[in-house]
Amino acid sequence: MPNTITNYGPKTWIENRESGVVKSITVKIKGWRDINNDDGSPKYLKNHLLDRGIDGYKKSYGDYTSNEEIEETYTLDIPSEHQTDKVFYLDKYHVHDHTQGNDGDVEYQEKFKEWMKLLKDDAAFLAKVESVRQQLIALGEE
Amino acid sequence: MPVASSGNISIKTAAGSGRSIDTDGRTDISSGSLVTLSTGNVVTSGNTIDGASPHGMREFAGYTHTQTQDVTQSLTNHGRLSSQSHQMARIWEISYFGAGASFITTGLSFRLEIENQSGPNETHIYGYVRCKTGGVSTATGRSFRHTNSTTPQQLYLSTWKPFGTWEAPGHNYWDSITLISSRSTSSSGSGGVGPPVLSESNHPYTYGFHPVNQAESVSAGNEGNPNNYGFSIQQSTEAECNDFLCDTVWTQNFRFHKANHYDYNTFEWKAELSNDHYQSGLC
Repeated sequence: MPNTITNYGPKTWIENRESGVVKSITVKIKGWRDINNDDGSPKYLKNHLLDRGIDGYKKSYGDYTSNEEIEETYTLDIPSEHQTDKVFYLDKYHVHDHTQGNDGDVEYQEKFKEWMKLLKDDAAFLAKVESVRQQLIALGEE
Repeated sequence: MPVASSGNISIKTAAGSGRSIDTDGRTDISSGSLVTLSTGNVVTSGNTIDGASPHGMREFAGYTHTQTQDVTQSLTNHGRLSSQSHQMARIWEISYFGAGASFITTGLSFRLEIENQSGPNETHIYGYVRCKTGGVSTATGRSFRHTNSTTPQQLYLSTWKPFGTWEAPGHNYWDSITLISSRSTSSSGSGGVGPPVLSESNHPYTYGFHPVNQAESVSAGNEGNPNNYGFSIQQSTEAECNDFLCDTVWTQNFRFHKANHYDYNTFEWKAELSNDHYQSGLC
């Protein structure tokens, strides 16, 4: 049975906005088998080297946006109390762009945490995650 | 090795290698008498030999003396089965961080005590689990769940929790034990630096233990002075600037091996390590 890795964003989320307000999010659940190449590098889940711009210093991040073997989507409707018209940089790695003002960034961050809680308590969503895992296991160890 | 299923066979080795009812067939006894070899513990399951002795020589064609292991597995006061809700053992750590990097390492250690005892079941294995790492973050939790209790207990760094007991007749009953293990990682959040570093490793007490899918030869210590075999699992994560929630569930069981017996698979358990990094404020 292969070891598996799944990730559900938020870099790959699609925000569905009406009049600028996030009403729902389309969550992409991506899955990889945790299998290495002969040289020890990951076969499926690749790393992403980010140039931090500090004396050429680069850092490795897991690239959870591409190369997935299995993907399913799930749409989460956002309750009105957790909706927002703010934007944030969740789809980036390191963007210190706070042009909407710090308060806007913080508000989005707080809403985002609520969305994560909703997902983790959503049985239908968790069933989708398990479905991705089972499909990965079905692919075997090669 | 089974007795050849076609061609000549013999009681001793006259017909050649792999063709002896005594050497290749009845590996549990040794005799030159077909009467003796036909009585006692003849294994009919999986063989063409019938259950009524005496047996003719041809009935031993293809015979293999593979038996079912005589194992007693304790289902009282042990760790929760994987088929039940919740994990048997779980550690979680939560870090709330601002600028800079956040590091979390969670881990569990497992230990098997193996010793010979007096009584009808002379080889005993006691399985234990405890925390491998402590909490340095703002919130830490550890839980252990019994199969006969819905209330989780606290899991400690220094105290072992028994999660399984196995017994079998005869001293040094088992030749080897294999840990069957697979893991499933689920993550979310943008702040993860690199994929999580996950490991299953040898963790020696008296002896180490091949951590995954590789047979470890075992021997039993004397009563009150057991031989201990250990392994551990661990998850390390790093995050910056954004949340990163990482959760790995290991599904595991032991496979006991004894020569000329079918392998015995123990009950299956789950162990979970959760590393949750929460960004607090702006980066």
